[in-house]
Amino acid sequence: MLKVGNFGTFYLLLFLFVLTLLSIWLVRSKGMKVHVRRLAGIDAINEAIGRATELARPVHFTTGTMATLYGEEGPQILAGLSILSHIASQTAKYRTPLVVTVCHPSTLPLAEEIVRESYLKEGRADEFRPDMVRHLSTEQQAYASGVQGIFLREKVAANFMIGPLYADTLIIAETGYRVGAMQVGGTGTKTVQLPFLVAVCDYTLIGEEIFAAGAYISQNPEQLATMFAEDIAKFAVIALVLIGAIVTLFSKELLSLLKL
Amino acid sequence: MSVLVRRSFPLGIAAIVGILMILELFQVGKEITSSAAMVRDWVVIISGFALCLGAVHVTGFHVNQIRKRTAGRWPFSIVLLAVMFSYIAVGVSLTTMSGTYRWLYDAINFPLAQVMFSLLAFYIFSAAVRAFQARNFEAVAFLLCAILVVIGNIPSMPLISSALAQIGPWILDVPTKGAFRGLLITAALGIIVLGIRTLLGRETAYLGRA
Repeated sequence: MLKVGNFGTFYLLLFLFVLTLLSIWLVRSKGMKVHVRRLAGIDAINEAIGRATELARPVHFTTGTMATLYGEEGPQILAGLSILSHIASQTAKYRTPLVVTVCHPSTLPLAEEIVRESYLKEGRADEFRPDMVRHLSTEQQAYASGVQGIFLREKVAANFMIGPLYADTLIIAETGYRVGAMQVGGTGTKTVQLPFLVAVCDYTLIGEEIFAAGAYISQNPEQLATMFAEDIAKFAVIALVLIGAIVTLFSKELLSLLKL
Repeated sequence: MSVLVRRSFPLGIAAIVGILMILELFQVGKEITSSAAMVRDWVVIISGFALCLGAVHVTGFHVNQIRKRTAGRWPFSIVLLAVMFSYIAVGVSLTTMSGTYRWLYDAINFPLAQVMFSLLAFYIFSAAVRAFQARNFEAVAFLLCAILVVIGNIPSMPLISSALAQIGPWILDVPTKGAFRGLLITAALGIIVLGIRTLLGRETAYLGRA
């Protein structure tokens, strides 16, 4: 039996599921076009890779530290890895050196497979090297110092940090600044790190933007349709927040009206 | 490898496990709950293997560095491997509950990690110096808010001006909290939609197929 306390969650999920299926159906059958606003952070990825290619210096990518793929922050790591797929394709196309560092080894096989697939897709399978994806340490600070070492030794020209980011973000990003790297940072629910990212990175992906990245990059109509569903849900949430605010502000007046 | 194994198989597993975990959340039945518990046990086992994989990867990478005598790196690789295998040897021979094992961790790793963490204060300062350069409207707003929050944190400020002392906490409690909550709600919606995309097999970028 469905637990009473979960009714809200159940209906929210059901609502979003139906909305997503409906959006996909509208795109498929009715040819509905979904326009997505420009995401400067995603557009900057190609610019940063282009810069690294011109300088003949490596590109660095990380999904952050501490979090595990199977934990509650797993979706943020997956969102980051979706962006890695695009980054690896671009570095393969322009023959730019790529360094991917991972903190928790659960991300390692997935990151390796993504980079390998991307190089294969671009017809550069022979240029893929297993040491492009490096597991440094499961310890947060040890990982951060390892990334610092890579930045300083290999003079990284572009740095992408997209995923659940923790306190080490600033250590990594500041070192990136010192070596003159163009930086794109993004996090979903780690809002505490956002001011640091805004202060240090050239471009920042905030909140939902990292989850939209996969669809935005692929421009696949069906994936974009799911973003349309998300926007409708967002408007519903905004409406609920407004109704809640109005009811709270005028609760006394509303109660007296109801009594009448 | 066939397309079925490389493409459809991982998507199918992701969808089945995802649906199972969602059903478990709503406590649909005992069978679902026990199956979900079993999947969670598998996660613990797989994560154990992932740690082994990490150790193998680190060893492979640094053995290569030493073999190639990579300039400026290979001596550090020797140190890393020596420390890693010494620690594994102590753990295996004396068990992970022994005092020596704990001491090695607490005496070496802990102080080094604290040093790294302490450096954060200086990094915050240098980042703040750059961020607070009033180049445009946003930077000016950023700077003003920061000044007001700093003023609000001065212990003697309520004695000087109680009104000024309240602005900083108000900025943190009202506009900042409101903005963060908005971000969290939209991020949560983004996570749910990403989950639905994954369950429906529409999200394939995490498998390297953007």
